[in-house]
Amino acid sequence: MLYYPEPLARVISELQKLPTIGPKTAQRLAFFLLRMPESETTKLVQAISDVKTLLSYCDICGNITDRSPCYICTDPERDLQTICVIEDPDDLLAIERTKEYNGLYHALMGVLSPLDGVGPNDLRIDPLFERIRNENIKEVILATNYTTEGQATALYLTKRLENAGIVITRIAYGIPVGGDLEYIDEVTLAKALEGRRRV
Amino acid sequence: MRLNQLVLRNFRNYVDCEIDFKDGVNLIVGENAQGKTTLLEAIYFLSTAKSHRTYLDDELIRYNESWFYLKGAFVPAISGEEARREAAAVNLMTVEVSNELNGKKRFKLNGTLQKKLSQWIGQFNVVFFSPESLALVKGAPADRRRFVDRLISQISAAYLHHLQNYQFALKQRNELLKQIRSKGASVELLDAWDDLLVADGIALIQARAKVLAQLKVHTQAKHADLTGDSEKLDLTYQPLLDGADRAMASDMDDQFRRALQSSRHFDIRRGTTSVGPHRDDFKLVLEARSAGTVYRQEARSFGSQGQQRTIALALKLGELELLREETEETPVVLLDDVFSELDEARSAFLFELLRRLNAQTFITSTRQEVWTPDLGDCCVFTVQDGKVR
Repeated sequence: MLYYPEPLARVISELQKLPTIGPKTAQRLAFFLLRMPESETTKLVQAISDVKTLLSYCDICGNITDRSPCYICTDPERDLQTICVIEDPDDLLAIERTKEYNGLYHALMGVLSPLDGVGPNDLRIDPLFERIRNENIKEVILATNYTTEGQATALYLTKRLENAGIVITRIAYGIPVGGDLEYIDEVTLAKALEGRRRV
Repeated sequence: MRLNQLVLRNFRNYVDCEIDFKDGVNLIVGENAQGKTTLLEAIYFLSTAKSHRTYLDDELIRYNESWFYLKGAFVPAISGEEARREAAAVNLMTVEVSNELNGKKRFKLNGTLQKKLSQWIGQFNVVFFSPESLALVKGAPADRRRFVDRLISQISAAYLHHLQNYQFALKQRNELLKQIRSKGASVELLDAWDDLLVADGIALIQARAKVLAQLKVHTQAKHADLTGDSEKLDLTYQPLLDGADRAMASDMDDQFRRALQSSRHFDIRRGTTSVGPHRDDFKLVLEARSAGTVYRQEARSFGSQGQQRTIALALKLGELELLREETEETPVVLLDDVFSELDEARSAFLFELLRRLNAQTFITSTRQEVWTPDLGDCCVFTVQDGKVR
């Protein structure tokens, strides 16, 4: 049987805990680390440890940040009357990359899913209502995913915000940019037709 | 599409088997428990991603193995051996599926992995008639729902999408009902899941109403042919929402939502959803004349064995006609042990029809010589202990 010295075996088994890393890749990475100059590995170790110690979630919007409130919540240039509701902070980065949105965010940290035992109290829903009550919010954009749970969560929020006196919108879905109609599946195309707009 | 070649690996009692099939009738003979039906099951699986015998895909894996693999190679349905060979060279379609023990099924179309089942299913269609088809008449509503769902899924990818969404939302709602009962979760949470059920459920009801109306016409015609017009068969869709098959979508929306609302307390007590298309059924009624009086009786409880078999066959032939009409192609026909099921007159009718349609047909039989109908040129395969000659 192949035998690794104990420290090497340990690094391989730790690396294997990461997503998409199997035994072969873990072994390759471990040998790569072994050959790296010590200054580089120290930097890597420091960076990994900083991610855990220096970063946290923003108390207001749930964004990943090194200070709370985060840079988005404290940016005076942003539109303080619009909140975009998302499932996870990852979605925030995706929307930020578009550079099309200049409002605030609110990450729910998940979606409603009775099968996974997730109810409204397990999500950051009450903090959202608190923000709507206390801040001068005019519009809430529901940007949860178009999955069954994402839809259920959006519908639930819509119902509860009905009488809050604000505009509630849902992001559109349908044909991707550069999409050729011929290659788009029927379901998506049917939804795109349903959500057509007057030009 | 015509099935040109079938490959089975670690599938039930087959280790590694490649079979080249012919146009027209392929007769599969062999003793009991040698793997005749398994060949039909494999073809059915390539069409529907399901077995006709079991829900558990892992049961299909060969004993002591950890995976199975199936592949079908298809050519367009063009008559003439030479034209077909030419077409085969350029127009071959392959459908592959593999399943790992306790793992996921993987689907490939022309060598490319398909992420969505709806993009894989319905590439070619089959009609399966076996002794178990009698359950369409005698069985529970669930048997008839499964038949209708599989039929429409083969025609419409959108239907399959709505069905999968509906079933998932239903599971979530039922779980929530239980949590309301036992853990005091808020009743208001039901609204969101109700909305989802209504949206997808109405799409299901509308598609079922439309397809069952078409199926009724085809089935009635076939039934009349089989019985020589002595009896009349009626098929009616019975959506659990009264009159939902005739209502406009917007009215239905309201009606379904109200039905869910009013059954809420009952549903919470039972921990399951009691209204909706997951409880639909269709009713089969036989109308017979005797001494000037018309008798209308439900086939499920009052029909004789013979009458019920005829209705099951008429439904399957109705399915065949419907698939032909909707896809403009003749489906592959799978007949499992039909000669123990059908008398001479009905078998003759069936084979005459299949010959006329020029359908590629797969038939299993235990003994070749008991064959009554004239099958014309058919290709015979002998199955013994998971091997084909």
